[in-house]
Formats: sequence, structure tokens, C-alpha cells
Amino acid sequence: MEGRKALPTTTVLLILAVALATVGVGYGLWSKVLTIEGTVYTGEVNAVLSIEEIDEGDASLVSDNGINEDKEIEGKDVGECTAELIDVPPDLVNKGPQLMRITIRNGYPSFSCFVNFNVQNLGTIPIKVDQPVLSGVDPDALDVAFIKGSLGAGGCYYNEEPPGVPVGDVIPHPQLEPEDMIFCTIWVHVRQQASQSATYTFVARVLAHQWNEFSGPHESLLP
Amino acid sequence: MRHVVPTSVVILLVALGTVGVGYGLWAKTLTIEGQVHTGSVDARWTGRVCSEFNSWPDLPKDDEDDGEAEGKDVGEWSVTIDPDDDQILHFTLVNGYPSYAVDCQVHFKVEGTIPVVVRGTSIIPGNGLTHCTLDDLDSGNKKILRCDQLTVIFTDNLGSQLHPGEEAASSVTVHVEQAAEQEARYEFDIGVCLAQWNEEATAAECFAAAPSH
Repeated sequence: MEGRKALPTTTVLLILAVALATVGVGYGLWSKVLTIEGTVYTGEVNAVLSIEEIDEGDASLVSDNGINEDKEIEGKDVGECTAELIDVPPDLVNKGPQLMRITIRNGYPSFSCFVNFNVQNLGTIPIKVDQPVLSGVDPDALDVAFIKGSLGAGGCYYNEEPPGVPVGDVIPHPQLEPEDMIFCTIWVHVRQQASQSATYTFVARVLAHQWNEFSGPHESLLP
Repeated sequence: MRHVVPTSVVILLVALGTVGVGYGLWAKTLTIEGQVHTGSVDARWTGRVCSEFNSWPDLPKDDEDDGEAEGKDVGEWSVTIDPDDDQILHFTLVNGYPSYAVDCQVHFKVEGTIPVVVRGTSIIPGNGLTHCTLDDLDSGNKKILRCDQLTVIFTDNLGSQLHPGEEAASSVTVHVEQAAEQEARYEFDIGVCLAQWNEEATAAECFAAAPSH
């Protein structure tokens, strides 16, 4: 019986070489993985109110001098106007005072109160500040308006000026960099038709939003 | 077909952009709340001091002038604050007769929270009085109502200013004239109008604006 013919030596060596080469590829591929890890820390839009000055009395008698003045007729002190800042709610989202409460007590026809206030960007994103939106004013009993100093020109806002220096033109939709602030005055006047021993209320809301979004009115976003 | 693809892309971008505005607008609302509590103008009568006298047309100067003639007690006076409205003072003479005269100091107090000024006074003749004339003397501080049956004099300080809680006095003098009839009833009204100190107003404007009783 004749056995199976063995492979030629050359063929065996060739197969062995190919097999070894194959194993060599598997163990000898040097490699490197590059990774990109992404972390995005968003900034925040935050704005706060602050009070500069509270004046009582006729517009012709008070001035923007950084001092609270009581200039009621004949030097009397009959009506009282106060403004206070309130943190609501005092949590991490709403940092800083975002509510200002103006209260007039013992008001009478012709009594006026002027509250000079600032809107300041305390966030990390530039913001644009919309004009205040008033609601709830009884037009028979009160005049409530945002004015230029005590001169009656309409609207907010103005660049802050040193005491005694008139403010410039109205800036209808100012942009504030972080830490920047803008200035305005709210005027509350008791009209002749106001009733005695009555309480009248109003609300004004100021929307501040990041500078790069749609610049139109955002009244629909107001609560 | 070439233009369809770019148009679709534009529409998609606009749609996404719109969604981005709606959801991506970071905003903060600052609120200003206002409350106005108005004060009040209010006053009420608080009392009176009255006396009869017999020296008409002069006011009493000494004890002899006080009381009715010859020391009699014929006529009666009554000055009372209305129990339902302390802004009304009832001045009543009973069993009066020609020459009967009464002089009163009437007091009122500012009960409101706003300073007031006396802007005007008035004397209005009522039932039974005829041929009445009203004279203003002393820049309006003294008003004299002369009728056939009665003479009424009211004196006040027009323009005087009163602060909350302060009191003031006025003077009322009534004299029964010769033409008064027996068993008759004569009526008159005196008004004092107060308005807040900081508004200029005539007496007529003051009375017109005041609530009626």
C-alpha cells in the first residue's frame, strides 16, 4: 500500500510563512484612539431691580439728585411714598430682587411720587431690556407713566448720569452687558377723580431676554 | 427639481429657527407692583357754646347784655349734633319772639387724614322766610342773611387751614325780627365747606364737589 504523497517542502514553508505573517498582523498593529469629551456650561440671563431715589411732590419741585425729596405743597408731609425691593422667590433661579413694590399712603389729588430705578444685568449673558408693560391702572384715579426724570417725556430707559446732570435721549430697547445697568423713572400721580379712603393698584412688568434672540415685543411671554 | 431641494432646506431652517425662538428665549421678568392708598377729607361738629342776649344789634359786652330782657326765660334754644350724621348741627329756637336773640360758638374738628382749608360758607333761607338778602362782609368771613322774620349772622375764617385732629370755631347769631309771625316755623341752612389744602377752589366749586347729606 502506497501512502499519501507528502506536500513539497517548499509549499509547506510557504504556508507556514503566510500563517506566521497573519499572526504577526494581529499582534503588531499599533493604534491610538482620540476622544472628544464635550461639556457645555450655559450662562444665565438674570436681571435685577435697584432703587436710586424716591421723590414726592410736584414735578417742578423735585430733581434727580440722588437724594430722596419730599416736596409736597407748602412743605407739608401728608402723603407717603415708599418703594421696596423684594426677592421672590429667593432661590437659585431668581437671584436678586426682581420685584419692586411701590406704596403710596394717604394719597390725595395732585400727589405725585417719582421712583428712579435701575435694571441691571446680573447674569452672564448680554441682555436686551424691553419697555415696561403696565396693567391694572385705573385711569380715572391714577396717572402711572415711565418718564424722563421728572420732565414727562415718555418711556424708559436712560443712561445713568451723575446727580444733577440731565439724562440723554430715551433708549427704547437697550442692551446690557453683564453688570451693566440702565436707568428709568416711574411716575405715579393721584388724579382729581380719585376717591377718598380708596386703594388703587397697578403692575408694571419688564422683560429682559438674551440679546441674540428675536428682538420683537415679548408681551405674550409676560406672566 | 433642482430648485426643490434648496427651497425645502430653507423652509426647514426657518421652521427650526422659529422653534428655537420659542424654546430658546431665555428671559427674566422684573415686576413693579404699585399700591396707592388715598387719604380722606373729613370733619364733624363737636359742640357749641350758646347764650341768649338782649343787646341786639350789638353782641353782649357785659353781664347786663346776657340773657333775655328783664331776666325772663321765655324763648328756648337748642343746638344739637344730628345723631345719625355728625356733620349736621341742628339749631332750633322755640317760643321765639321779636327781639329774641341767641349767639353761639360752634366747634368742628378735622377727622380726615388730609389737611383742609375752609373754602366757603353759606346761609340759605328755608321755609317761611321772605325778602331775604345775603351780604358778605370782612372779605366773606362774615355772612349776614337778612329776612323779614330773622337775621342770621355766620362768621368763620375763610382760607384758614386745619390739620388732621385740629378744631376750629365759628360764630352763629340769630335774631328774631319784628315781622315774625306767631306760631310760625322758620328754617335756614348754614354750610361750611372744607377742601383739601392743596387745591384751589371757590366756595361754589367746594360746595358742588362735596357729598350731600
